[in-house]
Amino acid sequence: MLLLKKAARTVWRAKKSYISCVALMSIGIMMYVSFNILYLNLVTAMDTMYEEQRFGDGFAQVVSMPQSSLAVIEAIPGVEQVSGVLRVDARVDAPGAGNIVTLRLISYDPADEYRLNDIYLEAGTAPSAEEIAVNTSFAATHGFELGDPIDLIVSGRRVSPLLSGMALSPEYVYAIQDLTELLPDPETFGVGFMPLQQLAALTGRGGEVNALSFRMSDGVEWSAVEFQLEDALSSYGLVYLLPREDQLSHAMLDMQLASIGGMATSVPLLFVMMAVVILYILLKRVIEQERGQIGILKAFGFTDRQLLAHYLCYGLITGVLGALFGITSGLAVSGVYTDLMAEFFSLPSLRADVSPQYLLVATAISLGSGAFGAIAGARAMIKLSPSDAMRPPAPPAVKGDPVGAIPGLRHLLSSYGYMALRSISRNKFRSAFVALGISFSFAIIAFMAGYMDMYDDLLFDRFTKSELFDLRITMASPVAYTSLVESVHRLNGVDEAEAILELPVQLSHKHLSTGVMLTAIREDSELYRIYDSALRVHLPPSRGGVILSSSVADSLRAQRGSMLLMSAPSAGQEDIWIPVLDVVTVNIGGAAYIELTSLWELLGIPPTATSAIVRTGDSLAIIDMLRYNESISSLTDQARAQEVLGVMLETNGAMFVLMQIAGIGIAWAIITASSSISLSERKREYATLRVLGMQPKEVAEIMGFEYWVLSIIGMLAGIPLVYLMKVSLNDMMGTDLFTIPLYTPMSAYIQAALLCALAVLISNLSARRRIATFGMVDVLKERDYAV
Amino acid sequence: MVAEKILEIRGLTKEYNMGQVTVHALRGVDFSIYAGEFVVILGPSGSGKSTILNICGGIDSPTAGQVLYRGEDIAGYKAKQLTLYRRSAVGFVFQFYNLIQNLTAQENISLAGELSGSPIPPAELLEQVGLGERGGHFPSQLSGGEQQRVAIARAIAKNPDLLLCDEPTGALDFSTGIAILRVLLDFNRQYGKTVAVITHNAGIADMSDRVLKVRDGLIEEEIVNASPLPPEEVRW
Repeated sequence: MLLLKKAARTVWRAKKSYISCVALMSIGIMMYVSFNILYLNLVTAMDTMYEEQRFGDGFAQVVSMPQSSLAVIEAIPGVEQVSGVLRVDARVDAPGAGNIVTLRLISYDPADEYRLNDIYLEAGTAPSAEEIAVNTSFAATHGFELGDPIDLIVSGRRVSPLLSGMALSPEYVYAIQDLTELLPDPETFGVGFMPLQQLAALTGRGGEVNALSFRMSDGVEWSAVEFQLEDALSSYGLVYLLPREDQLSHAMLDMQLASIGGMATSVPLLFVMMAVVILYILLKRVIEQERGQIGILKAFGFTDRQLLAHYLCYGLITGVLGALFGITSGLAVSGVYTDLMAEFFSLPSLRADVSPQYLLVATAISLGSGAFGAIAGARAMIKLSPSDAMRPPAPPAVKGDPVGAIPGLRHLLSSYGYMALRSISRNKFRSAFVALGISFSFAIIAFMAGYMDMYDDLLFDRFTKSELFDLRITMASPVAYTSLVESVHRLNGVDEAEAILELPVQLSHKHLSTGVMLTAIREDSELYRIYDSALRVHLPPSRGGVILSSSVADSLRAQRGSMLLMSAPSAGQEDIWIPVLDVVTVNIGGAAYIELTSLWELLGIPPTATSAIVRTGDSLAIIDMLRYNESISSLTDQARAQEVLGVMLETNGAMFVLMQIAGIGIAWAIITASSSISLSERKREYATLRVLGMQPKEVAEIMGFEYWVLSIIGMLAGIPLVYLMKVSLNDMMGTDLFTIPLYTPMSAYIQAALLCALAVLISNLSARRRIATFGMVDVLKERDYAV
Repeated sequence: MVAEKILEIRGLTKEYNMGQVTVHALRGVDFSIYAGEFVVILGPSGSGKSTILNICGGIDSPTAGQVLYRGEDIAGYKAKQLTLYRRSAVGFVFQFYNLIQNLTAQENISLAGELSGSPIPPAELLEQVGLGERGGHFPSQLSGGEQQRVAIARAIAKNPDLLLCDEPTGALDFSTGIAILRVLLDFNRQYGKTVAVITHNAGIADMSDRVLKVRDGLIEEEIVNASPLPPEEVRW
């Protein structure tokens, strides 16, 4: 009990170092608990929904296919089940809305008891005749309640089915219209479910399906059936065929999970490791100072085991406090994060559940790390015999003088500088730890500062470098190029207009094949330009060949000069061989580009286009004008799209700031703890300098110089670390849909350097204050080493 | 001719509060130290001699009384003024040397020299203390006696008026101790600087010009030594 009292008093005396240690441990445990619980909550909610609603293993879209042909597909070996639905985009008649509101209608067949991608009803009932069920966030945003009519224009016909239920679909957990949107925006897009008969009647497509999903037999890989499916579906105008991992909603969810999963292990480990090292250095110092006491206690008859248990308390105090603060804050943060995720991902069972196993593991990590740091620091000293322990230690042996061996350095530096450099070279472990800690802090801060710019590049390059128009008018089917451009030109408020042709094609290279949207642009286009985000250059559209995005090129293992087989079933033409003329880095989505007139010639099709692109000062006026034009499938206001992305950036911004604060926290904790330990170790040296006649400021400068040197080394080492972090983030999160830009702007490095410097400065000022309070008389009576 | 008073102590008292107990370390001490003399302050443990040295050296402040350095009272000095006093006027030698472990012998001496406006060249001092060949060695590579010689050279390097030595031979064997006393005496005679040694070792008193005996916080006796012995002849 008395020893416990002694431990508590010692911890209190070195409270500053212990506080930084507990802070790092708490941050590590908080991240471990919050990210793991969030990850588990998301995975559990996803698995539950996918299982209960029978989410498909693969997906395809065709132009049209008879419902009766589904049996043929289902007969392919390895395919266990096929479901086919009609899927069409309808316009919601919402005159007050600032944009076109699209509701994706999906047929619902109540007779099919085992349908894939079944709906989950959050409220109300499944739709029957003259009824519709819509996703909950869409209904909530537009103020629709059960029983309300929803005015729709479907294939030119106005209908007003009544809202029967609020439904969620595993295909639209992340409900976006297509990849150009990136973020769910229920104001402009929702998903609705209508009885099959009614939707077929409205669209005049009785007995047809155009969207398929597949369930594989147990143990069958997607690659084993992909080619047969492709063969079987090509005659129905295959638009795309993809496995679950590439399904848009799932890919976005999976990317989020990968990001959280990555953070759940590596980042907390980093913080805990830092805390353990500080604890180790701290306890080693405390125990060195208590060397004489250990000798006395041993002489009294205390056993090694009792003394080790005593010093274990020092580590366990840190462990207990780290676990307490870390778990409490981790639980609170996991709740906030889970609620935030629920705003983006519609998963019915997503709740902020507490998972006891993570709390137990977190407690074990915290206590175990604390105990490890304590035992590692105490072991050697406990082994000393009582008489050895009561004698001061021998001074450390001099093993060379690397600093003195540097020619010319003596003339460059004062004795102060020399002392600082020798201290670095003689305390290699501690110096390396400080430099490493600063490099991590620098890297985290620069990474997070660069992240904002990276997001900017990732999301906004499209609007500022590539799609230089204000409004995209997408036609329901290809139309004559000239008439489209001329008619759009005639609209009031249009300053400039061009047209592009977007064609779903299947590209094959050797045995590899992928579906991609081929964008054909005029050579002289001023509103749509091909942009390489890695090289930061624009490229002219190619004639007689295609330019591929690197993600598409990678998936085909194609490069400049490769010959691809291109099939464009929707254009109704023969397959053609076409060369790859260039490969460019595009941050979002897979892309393929070609010059427009060249595509007309290669495919032998008349001059047609699918979208008009417009520069205008008043997109909303044009949207209002075209709202009910049935030959138009969608109107995309680029300003609105940027606004939605801005909201996402703001949401993420708060998280980035938190991470930056954590980065500064690491720098502060490491520098404060190590300088506090260093001060206690070199108290006598500094007191001697004070007796010689140095002001506290001058003494602090010696220590400050040491930390500035280590900080500069740490910051320089942090630069490649930022790059490595981005590469691993790209490996973790980068998919066929996203490429994380590896470029970090100079401003991010400057920001990180300034914040690290601030942490060093604050710590140095605090050291200066402590040096001023040193009692010279007492300190100089002590012996550091045997003399 | 009467020697100039370099330090004059008047009514010096020092009290320490140790929890609820007040310890009277000095109870009204009066004495003077003259320029160029070798003075020994002699007393048993706890007599207050170290407190006198610490106050004279500007690393501690008195509770009451005056400490006149060349006529100016340093007792009321602020910390910054005391630092400047230590920098320019005083050199310290400690029982446990207190060398900077990360600097070589020569660098330890240079460091002190950098603080002074009129330093004595380190190489000259190393020769003086018999360590001309050992300047590049670190403290841990030197014996106790060698370390104490470096400590003396470092204290002298600033070219101070007053050298204060706290038990300079306390951690050394007899013959090494004698060698150290020789170095101190040489400095005193060669440079004409004042040396004050505090010790509990009565043998050392035989080599001094004057002895101040301290007991229970008071100057018990002042003895002027008409014929000081050379260090090599003192015994303890």
